[in-house]
Amino acid sequence: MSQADGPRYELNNPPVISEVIDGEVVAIDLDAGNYFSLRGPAVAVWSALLDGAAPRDIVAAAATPGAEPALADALELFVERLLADRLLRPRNDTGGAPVAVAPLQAWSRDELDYECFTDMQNLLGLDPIHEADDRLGWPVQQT
Amino acid sequence: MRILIVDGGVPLRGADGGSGAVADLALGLARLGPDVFFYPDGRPDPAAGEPITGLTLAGEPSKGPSGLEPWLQRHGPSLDHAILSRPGPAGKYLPYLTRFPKLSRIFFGHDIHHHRLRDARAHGLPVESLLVRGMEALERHLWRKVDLVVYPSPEEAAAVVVAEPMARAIDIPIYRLDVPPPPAGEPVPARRDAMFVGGAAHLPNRDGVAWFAEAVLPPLRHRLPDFALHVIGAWPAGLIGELQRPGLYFHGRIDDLALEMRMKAVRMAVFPLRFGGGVKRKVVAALAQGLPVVTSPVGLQGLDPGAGRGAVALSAHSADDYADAIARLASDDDLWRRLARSGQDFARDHYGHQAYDDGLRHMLGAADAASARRRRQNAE
Repeated sequence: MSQADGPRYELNNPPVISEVIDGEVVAIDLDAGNYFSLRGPAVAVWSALLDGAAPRDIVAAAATPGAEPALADALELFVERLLADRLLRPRNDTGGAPVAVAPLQAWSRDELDYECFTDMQNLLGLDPIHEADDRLGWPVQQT
Repeated sequence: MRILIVDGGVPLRGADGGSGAVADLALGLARLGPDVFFYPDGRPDPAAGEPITGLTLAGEPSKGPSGLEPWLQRHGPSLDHAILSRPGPAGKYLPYLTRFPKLSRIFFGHDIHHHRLRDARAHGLPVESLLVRGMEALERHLWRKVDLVVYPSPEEAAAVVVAEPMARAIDIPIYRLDVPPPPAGEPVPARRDAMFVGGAAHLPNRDGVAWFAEAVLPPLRHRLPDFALHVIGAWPAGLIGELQRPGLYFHGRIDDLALEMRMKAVRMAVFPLRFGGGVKRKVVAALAQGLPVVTSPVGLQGLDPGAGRGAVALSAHSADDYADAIARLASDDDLWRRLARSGQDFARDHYGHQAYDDGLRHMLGAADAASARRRRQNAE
């Protein structure tokens, strides 16, 4: 990575895993038990980030004349939030060829968003075969 | 050979089927000769039950992954296989094992959890849809990332490859059962009633017994007025109160000896399971004891179709099916003897010591081949 390329990122694994299921990115923090759901344009942007593309190359793949500043602002906020939620981490590797990014659908700030379900905390650490609560059903979060 | 097993906790004696399967796995592998080390994700809870003895612990379990890391630094390079049990612990610990390329990584899934969760939701049980998706994501991630996926039924192993064609999945028997010799001169007519084994914390059990009490028991008792179902296992008093009706008795948890005596006294085991995954230990355990079984196709899941499902147990789906099968088994001594014998033969052939040990050898061989393939692909 050269400084000119800007920072690049990778999945924060462990403890986070990520899969695309029926067009939805499902990312799970296995330590915290938090579940994250990304849909719409955020899916392709997420995939490009995990492939090691630099944000400016991702913006370039979606930009139409004059749209670049707004796309870049939205992506910057998106990445900040992904870092804050510890879904991504900066790549430590240096060098390497730039990652080609296929043309992307443009996004708005609202579209580069995701949902976080913190009420799933601990659920994935449980064995849902055996954990149930008489009143609350199955499975139920242990406190 | 050195093997590490990681699970969500220490297996407990006489607890759930999952604990039994992990205990059988660890102790069964050790019996074959390898050095087996066990790492439970978390400190054992003395209140939860009596831990299985005879396991060699690795690292400091109370510390989670960080408690295993120093141990892995020392022993990782000399390990041959790592077996990760259940999705949650497997997902958590897999990244710590991938730094040892020689080590084969095996995911021991017990059953496909997201299928069971999805089916439970379809039956109206309180399962969040996002949990189904989350569990599917985790399981499919594991299927792709490990060298070998192991499930108890061929249906589940096949489902893995359909979903993730690059995955390698096999089925092996996951229970190692003692199968006693057939009882000589069995006084069949002296047996009466039916038993169900399983606690309410396992939702398929809760759903099944509630459905049976509501849909099957009342009409069945018109045909067999003295028929009773005896439920063995932990059921909360409130739920027992809700389900209470003539012919339904809850006995709570009982020890192994009392369970064996109960199995010798009843005429049949009935498992009215409407959903659930994997091979059910309770079904196979009843067959092993020569106790004829009436259950659903779900209850028979994973039992080798080649062995003839109709021959080892009576399959039922609707309430009428259950009533008919139970009434037949209650009155036909020849049928009872045939099922008792064929059930024991099946259990011995598929879940006896020899079959179990053969399954473990098959698993280790398949894992060796799969990890060698991974290393070749990485080198290319």
